[in-house]
Amino acid sequence: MSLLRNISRGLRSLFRKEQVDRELNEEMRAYLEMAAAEKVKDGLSHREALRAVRLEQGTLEIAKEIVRSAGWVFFLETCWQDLRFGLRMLRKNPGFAAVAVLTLALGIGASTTIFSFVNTALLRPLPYHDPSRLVWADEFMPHINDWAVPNPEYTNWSTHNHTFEAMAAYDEGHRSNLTGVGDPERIETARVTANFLSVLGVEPALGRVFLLGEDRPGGPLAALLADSLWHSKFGADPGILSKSIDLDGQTYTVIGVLPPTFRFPSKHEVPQCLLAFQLPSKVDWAAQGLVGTRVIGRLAPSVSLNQASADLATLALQSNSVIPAGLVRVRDGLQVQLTPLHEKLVGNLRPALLVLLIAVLFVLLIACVNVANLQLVRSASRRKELAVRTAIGASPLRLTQQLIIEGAALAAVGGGTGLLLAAISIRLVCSSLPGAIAQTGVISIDGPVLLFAFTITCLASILFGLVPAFRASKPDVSDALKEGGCRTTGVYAYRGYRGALVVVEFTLAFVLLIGSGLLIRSFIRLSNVAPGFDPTNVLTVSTELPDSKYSTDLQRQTFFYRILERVRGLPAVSSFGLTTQLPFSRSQTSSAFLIEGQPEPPSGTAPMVFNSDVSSDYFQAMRVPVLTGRSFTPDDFKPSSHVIIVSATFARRFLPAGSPLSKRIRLHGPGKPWSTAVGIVGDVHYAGLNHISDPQVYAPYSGENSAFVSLIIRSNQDPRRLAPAARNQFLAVDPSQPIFGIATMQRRIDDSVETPRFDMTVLAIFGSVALVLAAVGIYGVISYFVSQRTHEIGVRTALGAAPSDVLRLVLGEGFLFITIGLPLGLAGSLLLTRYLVTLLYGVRPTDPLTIICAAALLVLVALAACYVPARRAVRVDPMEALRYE
Amino acid sequence: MSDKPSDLVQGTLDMLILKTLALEPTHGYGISVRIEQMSKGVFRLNAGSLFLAIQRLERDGLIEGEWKPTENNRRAKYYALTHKGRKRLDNETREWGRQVAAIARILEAS
Repeated sequence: MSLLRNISRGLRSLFRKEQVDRELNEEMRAYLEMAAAEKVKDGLSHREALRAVRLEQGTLEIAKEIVRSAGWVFFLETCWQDLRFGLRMLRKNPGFAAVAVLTLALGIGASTTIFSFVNTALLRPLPYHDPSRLVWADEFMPHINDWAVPNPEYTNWSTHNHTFEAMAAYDEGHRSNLTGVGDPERIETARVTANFLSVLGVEPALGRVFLLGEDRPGGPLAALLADSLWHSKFGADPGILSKSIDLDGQTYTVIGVLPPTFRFPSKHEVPQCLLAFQLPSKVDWAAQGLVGTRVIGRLAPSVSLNQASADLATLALQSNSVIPAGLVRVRDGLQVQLTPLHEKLVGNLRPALLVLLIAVLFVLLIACVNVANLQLVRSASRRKELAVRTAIGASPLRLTQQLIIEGAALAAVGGGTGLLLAAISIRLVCSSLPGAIAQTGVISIDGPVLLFAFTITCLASILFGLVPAFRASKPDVSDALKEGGCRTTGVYAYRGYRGALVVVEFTLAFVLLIGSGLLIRSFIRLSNVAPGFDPTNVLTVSTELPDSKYSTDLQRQTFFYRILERVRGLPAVSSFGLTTQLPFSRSQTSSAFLIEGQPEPPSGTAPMVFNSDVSSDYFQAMRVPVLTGRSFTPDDFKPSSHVIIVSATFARRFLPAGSPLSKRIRLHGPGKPWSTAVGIVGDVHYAGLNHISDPQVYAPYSGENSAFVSLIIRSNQDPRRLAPAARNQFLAVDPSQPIFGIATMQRRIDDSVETPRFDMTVLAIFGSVALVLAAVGIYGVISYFVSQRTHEIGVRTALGAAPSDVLRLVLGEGFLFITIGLPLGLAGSLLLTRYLVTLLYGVRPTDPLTIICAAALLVLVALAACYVPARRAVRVDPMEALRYE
Repeated sequence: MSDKPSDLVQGTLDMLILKTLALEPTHGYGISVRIEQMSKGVFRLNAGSLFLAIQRLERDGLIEGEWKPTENNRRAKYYALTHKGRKRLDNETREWGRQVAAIARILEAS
């Protein structure tokens, strides 16, 4: 109650200041008059009486001042005064203001930008209902070194668990050919159980979710469209419900449209269409065609992850009694792992984003240190002003308040500009963000980002405002007011502070340079990895033939032979080939294999090898060297011939050393024919440049194992020019067949390293900014050092000091910073760069070459920054310097 | 005892003003005159500290001001004790009595 009254009275006096003042005046005048009237009664004249009262009471102005300065309102008022004064001072020093504001804006803008990524990718809760209770359930089978939950396991879990409110299964990463609407198109699809959306707590924007019958084998075919597909293909037609679409030649009824904010729970996939995951309702481990599923669940209230984990592990163990013996052996040592869904989806982004955030906060810190330095220089030249204020009665507290508010005003302007910079840079950077970050959601300046910007602005203003304020709170009045006072003591008064600030700056810049140097070295290493083939001037085109139209091997083979014939006729094509596995694809096909003469392993436990089917000219077109034996010949493509070619790693690891081509190999499990290895080819990095080459086997393309095929076309000119012609060859053979993945091989390589390139680029930018800021800081301090000691240098020169002595004096000051900063930075980088390990390829975080280069660069720049003012010191004319004594 | 006006014991000014107003509502000058009279000239108030205290008491809702004409047809702000102010005065008087008694006991101990 009294607080409310206090505030309301305070606000009244703030906004109706004049009236409040008038009332106070009137009250005091009444007081004065009454007191005087009393004296008049004692026989004094009115004037004498007034005078006597004034003498007794002191002037009423002071009394009024005392009354006024008592409340919080007065504090606000003086703050407002200081703010206006501070802004006026900034206007009067446009140079200082511009440099300080820009430096701050740079630091705050960059930090806010990076934080907006962190906010979107890591902090923002997943767009599901009560997302903290959503978990991801997975099983690891050490025997086959694989993660998957077979569908009977899911059914068993979801019906018998005691710890989940509900569980759902899904299956991602499918591609389907969408036909019948405009050009045929290949879209990403995912299959989900009927309760999938209700587990996530998401409602379709239009229509309904899947019904229970629709997720059983043989149920009606239904599809839920993603908002993007609904817009791009169907013009956001609200009448889409109950219409049907054709996927891979099968007709699906559209039952609903997902909301635009829907995020599919996957790290990589953004399916454009959800289909019902048709799983049998009974747990039947003996059934043919077990499917690996992804499983998510919503924990029952107040159930811990460990309890749920134990629950599911018990169920998995119990299943062993009903599982066929062969499979039980594979499941030996099975581990059930539960991960919070959020962790599962964004956990892998955390290291890189945190490194970037720390780096950018370093930049911000350097920026703050620079501004603090500027403030110190300025407050040295303002000593006299502050001393005058003290002399006429300003309390140290009042002076501190003034300086802090000036700092806050500066920070506010810098922060506002920084926010503007962040908004611009977010817009610019968004399109070049790696998919992994961009996919996590729309990056925008929202509440948390604003709060972050506000917080760092406040912290920054404290960081660079407090030191000068602290200094100013105990000014030595008489000394400052003495003529030339600042010349004798001013130099040394702030030297320690400024030196410390520069050392901090130097240290931070050194750590940042080492960090960015490491990422640059690592990226160069990565880019220089030979992919095992020649990617220049190669175009890739992919397609997948639907079973409904191309049901036999022969049909598929014929289709591609017709395409190959047509491509052969194109101008500027030097060679071409066909493969079922492109390098740098997200997924790789693998197959069980057995070397002739080795014992048959139990079912499901055979070792696996990556395999692909290729055309006879594939190795020639890719320029993959044939190391031993021969490449495929047209004869090898006859159904009766069983030959394969193996990669060098495969031969080294699995084939006898002396005569590698003497053993036959069986792919795809028991009952399949044995094939003769006719050649060994060089290793190709199929999984990405940073993956070691896995063993690989190649078989002649027969149309058998994969309907997914890519063409690689090598041209003798820019391969992008071939793209339209290549597309036309496909359309000419089958106009309803969508093609996709038209890209140059170089582009595929670039895309495969987009995340490391992004991390490197951003860190390199931060490193350069830090270098520049540190140089500016060192330059500022050394020039100030020189300008304050002009007199002394003049005396030294007059007494016979050589230019080299003067140079040594000034550079010595710089060397001091360097000799303290280098070891500090080295220690800091040893502490921090180990967090880079997950981002580095082929470089250790303590890489001496990087550290030496970073140190050399930094020392060079620092010396250059010292040298400019040092030259000025050398040129000091003793006559000139001494005349101003 | 010296005849010079003496400083108030820290924190007692509010209590004295409340006591003055408990007798009869009056204006700022009236308060200062009464305190001087009742203390037989020992306490003489400075206008600044008086008005500061008045403002504080009014803000805390212990007293209420109202502009009224004075006996000499001048306008002045008359202050009166609120219910809350009366309670506060009772509390402070009691507390003061306890403290004075305690201090006296200490000083008289020999």
